[in-house]
Amino acid sequence: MLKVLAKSELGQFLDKLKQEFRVVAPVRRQYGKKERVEYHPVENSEEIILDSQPDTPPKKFFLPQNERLGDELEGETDLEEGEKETLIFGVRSCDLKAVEILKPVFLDDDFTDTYFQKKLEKTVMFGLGCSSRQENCFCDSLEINPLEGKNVPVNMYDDGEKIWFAVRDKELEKFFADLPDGDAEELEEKKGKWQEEFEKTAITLDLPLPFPELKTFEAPFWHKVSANCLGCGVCTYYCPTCFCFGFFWEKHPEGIDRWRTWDSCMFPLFTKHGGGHNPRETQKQRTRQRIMHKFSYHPQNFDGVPACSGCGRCISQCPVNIDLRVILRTVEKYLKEEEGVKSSG
Amino acid sequence: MAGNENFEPKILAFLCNWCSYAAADLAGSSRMQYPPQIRVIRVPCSGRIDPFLLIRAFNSGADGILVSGCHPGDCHYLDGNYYARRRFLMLKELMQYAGIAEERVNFTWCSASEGKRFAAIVDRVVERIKAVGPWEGFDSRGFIRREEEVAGGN
Amino acid sequence: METNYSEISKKIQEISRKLLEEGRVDRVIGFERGEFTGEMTPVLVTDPEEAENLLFNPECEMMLAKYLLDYGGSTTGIVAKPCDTRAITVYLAEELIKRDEIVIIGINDCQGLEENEACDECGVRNPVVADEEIGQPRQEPVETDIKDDLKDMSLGERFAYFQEEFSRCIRCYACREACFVCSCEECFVDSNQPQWVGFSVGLRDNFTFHLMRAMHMAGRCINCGACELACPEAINMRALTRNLYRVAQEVYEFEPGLDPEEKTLFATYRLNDSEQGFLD
Repeated sequence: MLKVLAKSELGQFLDKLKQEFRVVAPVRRQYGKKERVEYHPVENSEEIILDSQPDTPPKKFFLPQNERLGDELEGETDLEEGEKETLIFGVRSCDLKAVEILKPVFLDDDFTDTYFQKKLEKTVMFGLGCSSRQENCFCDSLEINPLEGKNVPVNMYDDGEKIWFAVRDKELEKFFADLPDGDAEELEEKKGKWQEEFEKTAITLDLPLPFPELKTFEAPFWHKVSANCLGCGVCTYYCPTCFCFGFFWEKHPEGIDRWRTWDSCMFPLFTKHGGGHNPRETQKQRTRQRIMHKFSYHPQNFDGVPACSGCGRCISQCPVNIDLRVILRTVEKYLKEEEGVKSSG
Repeated sequence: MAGNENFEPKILAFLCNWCSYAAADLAGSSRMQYPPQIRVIRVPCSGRIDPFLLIRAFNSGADGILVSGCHPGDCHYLDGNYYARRRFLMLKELMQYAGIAEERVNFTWCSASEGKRFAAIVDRVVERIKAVGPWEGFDSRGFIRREEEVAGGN
Repeated sequence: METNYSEISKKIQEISRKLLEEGRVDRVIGFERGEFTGEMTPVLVTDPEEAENLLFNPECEMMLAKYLLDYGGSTTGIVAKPCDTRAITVYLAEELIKRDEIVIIGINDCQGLEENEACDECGVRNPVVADEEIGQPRQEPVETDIKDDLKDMSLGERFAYFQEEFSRCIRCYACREACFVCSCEECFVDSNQPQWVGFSVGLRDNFTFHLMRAMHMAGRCINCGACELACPEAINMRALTRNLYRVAQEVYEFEPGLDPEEKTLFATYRLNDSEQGFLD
């Protein structure tokens, strides 16, 4: 089912959705001098931004930065029932892929993270095909199709004037019933054009996944690629796939709460032992851990899928403009050279 | 806020061992009356008080603080309170600029013989803090942005 | 007169190459342009052949001085804006680095950076210390004032303003890491004996964190603006440190980072220091 919607009627359409869902979409916010696009509950359809990648990933809806897990007396708290389902409107392929990457981590057969699971169950996502390359993104280099979101009931396209909806779910069809049908050929043509644009600006990464751990771990390039890293947690906190967290207890006048919050492998405290020893003492080791986790350990454990969806947020947000693509190129080059030495020698 | 008749403030008083704590002692043994709202913490020297402790006091819900050391020149450790003086002035400026009423952040000097003065100071501090009302905490407005995400994700 | 940045870049390349070839330094810290991003990024050059990548322009907003702390025991060359040299001066005053282990390539007559508002408030346009100088030093002094946008707000308004700002903080500590002052071996936020700040990212602990951070900056912060630039959430945390900078200037006539012989604000005192605001 292919439907089209003029952008001017978006408000009315969202009102319909709002009756059943809590609608969240990328909206523009002004913070001081900085303009940001972030996922927020929609109040006014005019503030929705579909032509620019949101600065923060939708990860926070499944894995909030702070999550209260209960208190010392009650034990674990149950999630609140009866809330409206959340509809995230306009999630790009990279972020959809990121959720797919998170799923096997939290929904493991042996242990299921119920907090994550329940949040995921109460969320519906509308995919959004990208019509242009965003700042620093490279999902197509990681075999992700920027135009086609996977595992979503509805995939949208924004051509500037109209929004196209490719509806794949029968239950959701009722919302689209009164919209005019779209011309499939016209959309294909548009997608073809966008595809071409992507191909023109693509960078090819020939990465052996997972990275051979033994060959790369002690490689000399790590010092160079991490030399300018400050050691802040921006890259991991803005990453749609980084999922490391910590538990702690917090005291307040009424008692003690148990919390789960994000943690980052870029902080020295992340690995510091109670006895004072820190196995990852230098920034070089910590940077290596971040890259190796994404491209070696994760694919080793999860069918060769890297824990990176190429959204490029770590590159855009980095205070010193460290580029993940440059690091990947360096690894690629190093492995090729090693290969060459071996075969010739 | 202000004007709350029944408001009994919680005030943390950091007193140096050599002068101000002795002054409090003197006030007590001389049977002088002063308000009971202060909780005294005895420290070796006003120069040893980390400003973080004072910020932390507000984090933990104190309505105000009082720091008192030896008069400049009388420090048991010669110059501890001279260092403290700079730190406290800067802390006071910082707190006030961040929007925390200066009435809540009190610094003074009290020698071991000034029991009467100590009682008067506590009187004044309690009045000052009563005038600005209870401290509502740094998070008097809740999480703001974070709240909607956490609540909505459930 | 227009500043010719390609000229400056060329000089930096020449000097760095010479320093590396002669073995006077083991490495040079400078800026290069990112291959894909096209943005400036700090880079460590160890090979004289790579010196040609070094560039300088008004986009070079990061402070490089902090990288010096990682390389004690060997010699390092550094491309230094006047603010970097002030940072180096603070390090020298606190004996965190050794003067004979660094070679400072100072840039004279700094015009300020594109995106950094702190540059408008900076009156130091020539390096404070330098071994190699690029360009002609600016002769006439620059008249600047530390701005105070929040002066006219009431106490409650300022509190609400900072609550709004700090509620956005995600505690990534980019401000801490970008700041040259933050050189503690263990940061107070990483300490759990005592635990100064809670780990949960709520307004209460965010506010506490920023107050404590500002308190640590007092008398060391040179108002370079690196914290503000690094912040991904565009939090105006510099308002707090900038105010302390101004207070130190007015009350103690103290400005950090101008003289390596001078002690920092809290490491010294005068008998007649102000007691403004103390209960008498």
